[in-house]
Parts: sequence; structure tokens; C-alpha cells
Amino acid sequence: MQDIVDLIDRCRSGEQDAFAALFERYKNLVYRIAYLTLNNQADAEDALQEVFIRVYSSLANFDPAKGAFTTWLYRITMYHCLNRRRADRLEVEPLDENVLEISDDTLPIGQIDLDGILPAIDHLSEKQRAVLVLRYYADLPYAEIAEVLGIPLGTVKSRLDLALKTLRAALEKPPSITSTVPAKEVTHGM
Amino acid sequence: MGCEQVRPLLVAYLDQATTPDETLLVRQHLADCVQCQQELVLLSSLQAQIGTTMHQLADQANPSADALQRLEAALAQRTQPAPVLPAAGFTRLKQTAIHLFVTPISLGGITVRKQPIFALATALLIVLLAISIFNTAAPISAKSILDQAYQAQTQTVPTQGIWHTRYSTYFDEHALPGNQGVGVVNERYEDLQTCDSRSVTSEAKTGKVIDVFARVGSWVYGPGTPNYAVDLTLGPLTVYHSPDDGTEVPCAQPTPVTMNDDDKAKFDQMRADANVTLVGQDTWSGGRTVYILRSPEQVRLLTQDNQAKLVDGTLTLYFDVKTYVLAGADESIMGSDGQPLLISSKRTVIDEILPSGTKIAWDLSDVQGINIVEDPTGAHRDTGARG
Repeated sequence: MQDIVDLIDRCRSGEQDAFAALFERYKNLVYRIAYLTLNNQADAEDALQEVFIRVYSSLANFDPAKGAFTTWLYRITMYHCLNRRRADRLEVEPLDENVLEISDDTLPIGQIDLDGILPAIDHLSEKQRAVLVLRYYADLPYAEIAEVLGIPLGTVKSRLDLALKTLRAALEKPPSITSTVPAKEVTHGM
Repeated sequence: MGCEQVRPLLVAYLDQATTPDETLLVRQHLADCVQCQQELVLLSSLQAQIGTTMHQLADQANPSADALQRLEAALAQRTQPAPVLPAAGFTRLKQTAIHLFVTPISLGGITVRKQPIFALATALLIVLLAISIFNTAAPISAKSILDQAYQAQTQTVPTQGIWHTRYSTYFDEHALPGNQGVGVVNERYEDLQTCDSRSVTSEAKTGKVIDVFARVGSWVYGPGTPNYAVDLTLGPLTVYHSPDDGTEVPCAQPTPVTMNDDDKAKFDQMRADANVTLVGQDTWSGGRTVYILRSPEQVRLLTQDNQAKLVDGTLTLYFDVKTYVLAGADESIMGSDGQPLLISSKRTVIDEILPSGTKIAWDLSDVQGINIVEDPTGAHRDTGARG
């Protein structure tokens, strides 16, 4: 903990070597989180650059007393990933809170095809992938996921629940056009 | 507690994220319910497989070897003047040629389409002229126009001034007659130097404010949590004026204008379509002039029971005549009355840089239909995240 605080202090004092060290230490973390969320290596490369540009310009505002550096870094990374496309700021997306279109009634308990999980994850929305990545890759507790994404704890729960139900539905039967989540709500990002 | 109450808790239960009361209720239910026990086992194996799959994927993914060098170059470039659009001469040449050969149209008016062969001839002429002047190796095909537009999506924006954007969207995936879909407008200002910003989202027809967020210095304005619902029966939106906590991303840096995956797919589809037609130009209400390209498309609709189906329709893409950036995308079908029926529309109506110092009410004081409440303790602080 102390070494990262020292490293950040050195970055703040303008030591280029320190910022390079910070980048080297966290580049894989940022890149892989972005890659898993965006599902695209080129976008992950862009995200890596943009995130560290923001880190560079924002480091003066980071307060170690208010939270871990990695939480702050996750937050910037996810902020970029979920808002990287200006055209996405205003769009209609699958309703992923409060209303579950995938009923348990339609999902008989039985074997699921876990081999097909990768394409099934690919079909999830970025928001759903984001919570899955933070929970099952980064191993963050729900409260930290809520802090990173800036959403209520209950939304983390419902979003994870829906993401797993969506995956389960996709694995129960091959993805098809009729299996897409139908309900829509209007949302926008910042 | 029945299965229907327990099932939504099982994922959190497995992640040890249920409250003590929820944990007790789930355990009591599981003791007597074989189906939920099986569901728990299934979800547990699914969680494990997700984790394994993600770690395997991530282990194989590494940033490029020159990532640090590119970052350092980007940071150094941030102090330089904004880059000039490449191939500006080529762009102007194309615009001139298209002006000569394409009849403009107006929204809601009569659409005058040129034949595809004419568009192709135009494209060939443009490219030949470009080659003769610039001695480039541009491919001689209609596709080159769209390729040029594709390159334009990665242009950077200036780093000074106030970035002003207005986005409008409309969706009617049930294909209800009479434009009964949902439309919203988001207007955003962002000072690229001070980082002050404001964003207001309104219902398109009534102008009712749905959601806002603003950052002014070290203070933020927002409803606390994002409001996504378009509910015209709700009263004025309560907006809290709260101190920022310092961990928020402080400043949205100017980012390249890019297409999202959906737009890319549509764009690629159009680039690959031999039947794409350059219809003409249009000037939107915000003053933006765009080229209009159309091609056939299978449009996704929803049935009354919310099942998706594909219907023959039309994809229309709009490109800024100055920058060739994708400015909008419409999908439409032929309605039962024989008239085109708009199914979806996303348009960046305005994308401009205003001069530094342009007077903007960053504190939302000019926004009607909101109640601003002081929140000096930050108890209702809005993070600004809309993820």
C-alpha cells in the first residue's frame, strides 16, 4: 500500500520514470479489464491509452484516504469503457434492472452447455459484461462494484442476476434472434 | 418464502452478498426445495465457468509492446495544437464533386434518388480526380467514398473551447403507427479547459427533463442516481447540488469521435452493399449538413409479445459533409399505409466547438422543470456515472 502511495507522490512531483513505472504496474490490469468488457483488442488498446491519459491528468485529485488506487483505476477504466463511444451516450438499451424478461419458468433445470459460454458472454451487453468482469475476473465485492460503476448496490445484484440468467438462457438453447431481451428503456451515458 | 422470491437472491447468495435476513430465508427455503437446490448448483457451476473463461481469455490478452511509447507520445501531443484533418484537399474535392452531381433533399419532402450507376460514376470521377492531383493509391471504386468516411471516424477533436453536442434518438420497435415511439434529446456542453460540463436529457416531444448532470468546479449537480425512465407523469426532477468527493473522474478529456459496434456493423454492411445509394444532402435544425446514404436492410422489429422478427426495410446513414464523421443512422420500413415508418433513429444533431468563454449556465439555472436542492454534506452526490 505504502509503495503505491509513494509512487503516486513521485508521479505528482513530475517524475516521468515514476509514471512509466505506474503504467507498467497496472497496464495489464487495465488492458484486460477493458478487453473483457469491450470484447475487442483494438478497443482495449484505445482504452489503455485513454485511461492512463486520464490518470495522468487526474492524479492530483486522487486521495488515498478515500479509497484504494485500484478502485479509482477500475472506476476510470469502466467509465471509459461504458462511455467511450459518444454515439452511445443516448441510446435504447435492454432493460436490465427491475424487470426481468427471462422468466425462470422458461428455464427448466437441467444440463447447460458450458462449452458455449464464451459466445454467450459475447452476446451480453457491455453493462452486463462489466459487472461480470468486476465480480468474476477482478473478484470485487458487490459494494466495490457499486462504487466503481456508480450504481446502487441493489442494481449490482439485479444486474448480475440478470446477466447470469441471460447466460443460462443462452446456454440452454442456441442464441437466436428470438432470444434477445425485448423490453427497452431509454438511457444515456455521460 | 417461495421459489419466485428466492431465485433472484441465489446469485448474491452464492457470492455471499445477501443480507443476514436474506441468507436465513434462502437457507430455510433451500432446505425444503429440491428445484432451487438444483438451480443453486447450476448457477454455481456457471459462475465458476465464467471466472475460468475470463481468466483464460485475460491471460492471453496483453497490451502491445509499444503501449508506453504511444502513451508518452500522446501525452506530449496534448500540449500541441489540434491536428489538421488529413487529406483535406481530397475531402473538399469530393464534396465539390458530390455537390455537382447530387440533388439535395429535405426532411419530410420529396426524396430525389440518383441511380446507383450515377453514384458509381460520381465516385469514380472523384477518385480519378483525386489520384491525378494527389497521386495517391486510392482504390477506384464506390467503396472508396465510404472508406474515406470510415477513416474520418477516428479524427480527433480540438482541445480548446466548449464542446457542444446534441443527440436525438427515437425508437419504435413495435412499429406503432403515427410515430408513437419514444424520443429523447440529450444536450451537453463541456469546457475542454476548465472541465466544467452539463448534460440535460429531455423527452423529445414535450421537452420534459428526464435526467441531468453537471460539474462546476468541485461541485456536481445531479438527481443522485441516474434516471432512465421516460415517465411524463412524474413531477419535477429533484437535482442535488453536492460537493465532489475527489475520486470522481474529474474531467472528460476530448475523445475521438468513433462509431459504436452497432454503428460499425451497419456501416460495414453498407460498405459491402452494392445497392448503396447516395441520396443527397440534408441540413438539420442545428445547422449540421449531412450526406445521406441508403441501402436495403433487414430491420429488427418486436411483435406484441416482444419476440423479435426481421422485416425488409431501409438503412439510412448520415455523414457530416465537412468531416465525413457518421452523424446519424435511421432504420425504417414500409408501413401498412404504404408510407415509410421510422423504427429507430440516432442522430448527432450538433457537434461543434464553441469559443472559449461562451456563456453557458453550467449551474443548470436556465433549465425548466427541475428543483435544485442544496446538499452540502454530499449525501445525495451524483457520481455522474451513467453505466
